[in-house]
Amino acid sequence: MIQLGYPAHGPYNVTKTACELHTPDLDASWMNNATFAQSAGTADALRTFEHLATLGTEENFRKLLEALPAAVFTTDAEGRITFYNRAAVELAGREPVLGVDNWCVTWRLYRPDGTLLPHDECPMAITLKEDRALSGVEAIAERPDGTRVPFLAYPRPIHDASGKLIGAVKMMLDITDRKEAENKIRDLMNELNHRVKNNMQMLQSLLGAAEREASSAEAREALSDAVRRVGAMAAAQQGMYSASATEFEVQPFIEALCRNASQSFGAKADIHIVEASGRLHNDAAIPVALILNELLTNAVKHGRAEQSRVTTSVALRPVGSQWELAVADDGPGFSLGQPRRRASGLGLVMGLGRQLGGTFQVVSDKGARCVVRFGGPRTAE
Amino acid sequence: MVTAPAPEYAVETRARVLAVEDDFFVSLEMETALTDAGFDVIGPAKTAEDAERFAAEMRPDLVVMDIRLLSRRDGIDAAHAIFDTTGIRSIFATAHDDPHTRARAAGAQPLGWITKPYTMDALIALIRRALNDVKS
Repeated sequence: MIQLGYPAHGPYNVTKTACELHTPDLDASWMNNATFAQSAGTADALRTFEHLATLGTEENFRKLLEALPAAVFTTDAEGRITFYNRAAVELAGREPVLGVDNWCVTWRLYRPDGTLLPHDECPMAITLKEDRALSGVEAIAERPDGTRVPFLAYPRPIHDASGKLIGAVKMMLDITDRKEAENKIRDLMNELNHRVKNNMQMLQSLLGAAEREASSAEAREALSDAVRRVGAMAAAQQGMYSASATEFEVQPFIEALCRNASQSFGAKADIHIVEASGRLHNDAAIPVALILNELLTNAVKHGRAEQSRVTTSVALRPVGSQWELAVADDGPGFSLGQPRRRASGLGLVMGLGRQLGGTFQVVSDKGARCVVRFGGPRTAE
Repeated sequence: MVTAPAPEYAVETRARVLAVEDDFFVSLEMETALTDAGFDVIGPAKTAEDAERFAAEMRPDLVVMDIRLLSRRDGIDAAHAIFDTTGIRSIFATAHDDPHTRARAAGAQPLGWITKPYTMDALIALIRRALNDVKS
């Protein structure tokens, strides 16, 4: 008896179905829980399967495998190929030799990183050697004509009535289209990222030129602050998309920001990174970068008192369910009033802190310690 | 008559840097910042062909090379040509930072790599380190 089930909420909206058919010598329990709703081809295959399954008999079961648009083959317990369908021949680009070919119908196999995958280490071999099902293992098949097909492998062990391993069945899904789409998206992302970086470089250079050409001290200071802010945004941009499309590594991010500030302030500031760990969501990158930049600027402008140099320590770390950004200095300390300006200094910190859904707190004790706590569902871990 | 010994520092020459950058604002800032930092700036070249010609004629100590230029051939092509004909090496200053691009550039034996957006201070620090590497 075969019971077939697949997820009710698959991407192709296939209604949950169970069908039964009698095959005395073939236990196809591998079908249970198979990750089927992977492609439109599989959804079609399932409909065909359901139709044929209602007819009963092993002969029909073979017809059903033959009719599947997904590549399917079976082996005995030693890995010798015992059955394959047309789709398997198409994917492999060759006619397998029954009883001679081992482990896989393909000519050659490669791992996704392009290294050769020996047939006796392929997903089917692992399934047989370890008697366990595998789902969606990615590999690349090379046909005898040299063309390559990326696919996902779903090998499942087959057991007899006593539970003894008697062979395995493997389905292979051609994912050429998906891979091409992924490559296109990656190229577009790279192009976009490249343009953003270039434009930021240009913006920074443009403001830098304006700073040099400004004649009043106030204008130069305002432009210098603007250059540093753009520099902070640029530093934040650097690390984005390097680890993942949605998150960035906190450590290189904080290092780049402190470097930006340090280059700008020269001997006026001594900046130490106490802690920077974890990964943060991209949405937080620019606000956090600007907040840190503003806090460091504030420390240099107001935390130096009579000394020529301010020592600051920076930490960005997860605390409980929230993130904590802390900047401490060895200056005279200050109490947080209502900032006069909102687009710079502590006014900007408060505004961006609100954008992050966070809180801003200043503790004065042997210097000032500014702490911004933020969190929420879109900041990871 | 007492003759003062010639001061040793008098023979010190300014390091010469060829700037290859097609963006007007970036090249302007680079030229100003490098000159202020004590370098002789050659260029800026905006195409691979200009970069190769300037390198051959002016023999800089090193090249600051952007990759995307206003020419069909890019900065990596230019860096290879310059290295092959003169032995002069490049610092790549570019928004490209992927393994494929780095692998393409490896043959020109880059002196360093700085990713856009960078600050001029960071570029100057890298040039100073690279010049030390070239000398030693």
